[in-house]
Amino acid sequence: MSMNSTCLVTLTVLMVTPSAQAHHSSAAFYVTSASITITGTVTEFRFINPHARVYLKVVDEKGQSVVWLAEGANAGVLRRRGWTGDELKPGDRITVTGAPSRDGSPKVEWRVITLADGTEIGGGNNLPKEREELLRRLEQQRRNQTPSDNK
Amino acid sequence: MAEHRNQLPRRIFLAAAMVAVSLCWPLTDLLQAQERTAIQGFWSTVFTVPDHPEWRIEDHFCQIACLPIARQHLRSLLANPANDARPLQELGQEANQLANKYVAGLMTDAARERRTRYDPAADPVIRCEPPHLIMLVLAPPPIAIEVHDDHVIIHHEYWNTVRTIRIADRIASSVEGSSRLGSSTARFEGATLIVESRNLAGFTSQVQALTTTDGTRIVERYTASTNGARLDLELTIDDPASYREPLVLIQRRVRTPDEKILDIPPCEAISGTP
Repeated sequence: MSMNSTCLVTLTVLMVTPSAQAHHSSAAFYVTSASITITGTVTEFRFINPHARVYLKVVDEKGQSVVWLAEGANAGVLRRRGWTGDELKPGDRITVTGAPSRDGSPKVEWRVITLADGTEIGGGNNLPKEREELLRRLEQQRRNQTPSDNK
Repeated sequence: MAEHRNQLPRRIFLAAAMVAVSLCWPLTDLLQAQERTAIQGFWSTVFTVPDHPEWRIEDHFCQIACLPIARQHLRSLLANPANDARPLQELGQEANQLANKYVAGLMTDAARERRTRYDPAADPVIRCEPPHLIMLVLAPPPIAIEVHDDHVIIHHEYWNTVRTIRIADRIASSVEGSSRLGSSTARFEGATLIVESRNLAGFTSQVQALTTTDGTRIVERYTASTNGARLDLELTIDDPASYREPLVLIQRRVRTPDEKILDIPPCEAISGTP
């Protein structure tokens, strides 16, 4: 059985911050502190649990075609965030940025997927892109709050 | 005759009291029923509904569940003007460190050893096995609660699990073996729904602090806010073999009446490389 990444309930139970997510077990399968970017053509998008999966064909530096697996968030969570499962189709050209696998196999835990038209979609495990945007909004909200709002 | 006359006011009083009681009894029932139904409805966490007026900043740092001490600490940090220049993420990390330290002090040596032995690759969720009750209760997808005369239904979107829990004053003593959902009974204390579960199988999860042994008792306490917009869960994990004191976690949900339970996509364990 290949190493899989994390699932729906993998965030730390205590206080969840983006950095705290490094404690979850995806670190056992992916080098969460590292980042790789691959570009390829989607062969299959599986909108499933415990993780959505994108299979894509990537041509390596030797000109050979390699099928990569990109793992994202739990499909149930993605559905709650408005995903339908039609976001990616075979033949789509995409760029995937995320954490590389620990064992060197062609797998990546995606953080962001960039579509051919430049649109960035999130949906990574634990929703890191959405989380970053949320933190920006919260910082703004915090700046706009009067001190009494926090009391 | 005189004696009879003397008893007349007393009889009138008793009759009036009986009428009052007969009128008030249904009223008490009605009020009690109203209290109980306050928790009915559809409830979502910050993880699935991040935009809602009930959320405070600290709620966004508690996407699954929090230790009360950590939430309170983050709240204090946010309220202190000395921290205005510090990024939210840094404040969240500070609260998290406090929580980690607290739980580390609570865990028994046996629990620590269990965590060390834990193999994430063998986690039941990764293998698409249904979740343990603790993971089910804490899972961030929405829940729907219905209160009936003699039972409560909690429908968890996570794994599309429907729990039908009998309302009883005391939990049935049972000799049946332990299982992932155990055996549960419900009761009310005022408006608070209390679900107590026993005969739970032990488990160790990917969530860093959670590890329990067979026979763990857990208590869920659900209380709706006065305005009915928020549902607070206090989950107590009572397992002396794992924690020196019961571990208490809190989770907050908001009422989202326009939402509904969605079909969950299928689960497929990965069995090979691409």
